Amino acid sequence: MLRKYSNTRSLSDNIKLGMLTAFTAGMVNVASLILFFSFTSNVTGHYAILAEEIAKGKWFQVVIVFLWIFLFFAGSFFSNYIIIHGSKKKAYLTHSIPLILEIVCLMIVGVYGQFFYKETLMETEILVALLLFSMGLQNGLTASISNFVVKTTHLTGLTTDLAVHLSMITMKKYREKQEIRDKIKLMVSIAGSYLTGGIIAGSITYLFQFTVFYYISIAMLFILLYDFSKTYVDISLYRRRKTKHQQSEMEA
Amino acid sequence: MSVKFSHILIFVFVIGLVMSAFAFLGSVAHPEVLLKGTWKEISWTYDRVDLPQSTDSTVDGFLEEQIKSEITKDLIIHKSETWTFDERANLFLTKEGNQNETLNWRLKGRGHILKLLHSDGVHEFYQIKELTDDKMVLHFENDMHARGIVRIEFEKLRD
Repeated sequence: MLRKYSNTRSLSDNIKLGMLTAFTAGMVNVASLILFFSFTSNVTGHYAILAEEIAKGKWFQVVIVFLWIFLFFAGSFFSNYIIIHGSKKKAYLTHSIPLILEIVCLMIVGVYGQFFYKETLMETEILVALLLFSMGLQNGLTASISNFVVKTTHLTGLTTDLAVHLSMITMKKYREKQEIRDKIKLMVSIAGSYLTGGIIAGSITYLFQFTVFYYISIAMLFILLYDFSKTYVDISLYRRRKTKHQQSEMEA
Repeated sequence: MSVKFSHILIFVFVIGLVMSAFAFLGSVAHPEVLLKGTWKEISWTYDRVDLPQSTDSTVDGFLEEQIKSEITKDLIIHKSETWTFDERANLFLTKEGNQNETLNWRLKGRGHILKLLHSDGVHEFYQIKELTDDKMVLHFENDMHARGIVRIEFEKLRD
């Protein structure tokens, strides 16, 4: 899921990556809405709020929302920066760093929220900022390694693209194109996963409160471990088979 | 201008922008600071909701009652009250000089949601439409995000 980059990725790679990350993004967004009354993966909404607060002259809120948007931007920037400057030979490790950082951010929010949160406004703003940074990391990672095919917190664009692609398949020449059908499958998978994640978070956050971020972190860890097993276990098995084959050839 | 120099310039500009934002935050009034003090309720308005267009007045009346009861099911009526917010997140509700109740208050979101916690576990949520040194306007907040259902206006009492 993580180790393959850009054009070497198959539809299956993109669907797996898209579904799992969209699921976690949906969970984070709904959990933060319930706990903090703020979205953390709806940057379009934050831009609208920024414009509204500027118009009303509420300068404190203007600066806060500006910093939130900036942190999402910083997360995406940092994600892609690591990927493009990292080693191509160690793609799994390079691509894991943003996910590891995201898990760290989610765990910080979970632990702080469960044990130390006094519900002051400053704490809320910092925790929301941390979540926006983590969503930026995730969106930057998925967009970068999939060559902008997969963007899991950008549902406005996804819905637009889905509508465009569905309208395209009303014409025979587009309906016959496998890449358009594949893209539709991918987008429907991402939208469905995001919604599923949101529904689950909406159901459990009232009960579990901040511990919901631990479950989200476990889901992200699953992504890392799945790819770890596919990368390093597969490679070691391949090497063993290659060595055996070479040995049998020499004996022959 | 070399590429490296322009990168450094952009980096310094971005860091400068963020630092300025933090410095600006320190200079503007924080909502929690503005909220502290004693506020006297000066108006309590129950605004009409936006209704779907219908030519049938029976349907209109039914919808209005349905919508009203849905929107106000968690609403606690605060009228003619004085609200005192202290720095320990306590809110003292006073009516005609008698202290009615002590609640806890919290600001949520970007400082635009006021959450009140009653001692029996009931929560109230208000959207802070306006908050200045002298004036506070609250709208009753619920999941339906309906416009201006209950509008409470306060003026600050000076010591």
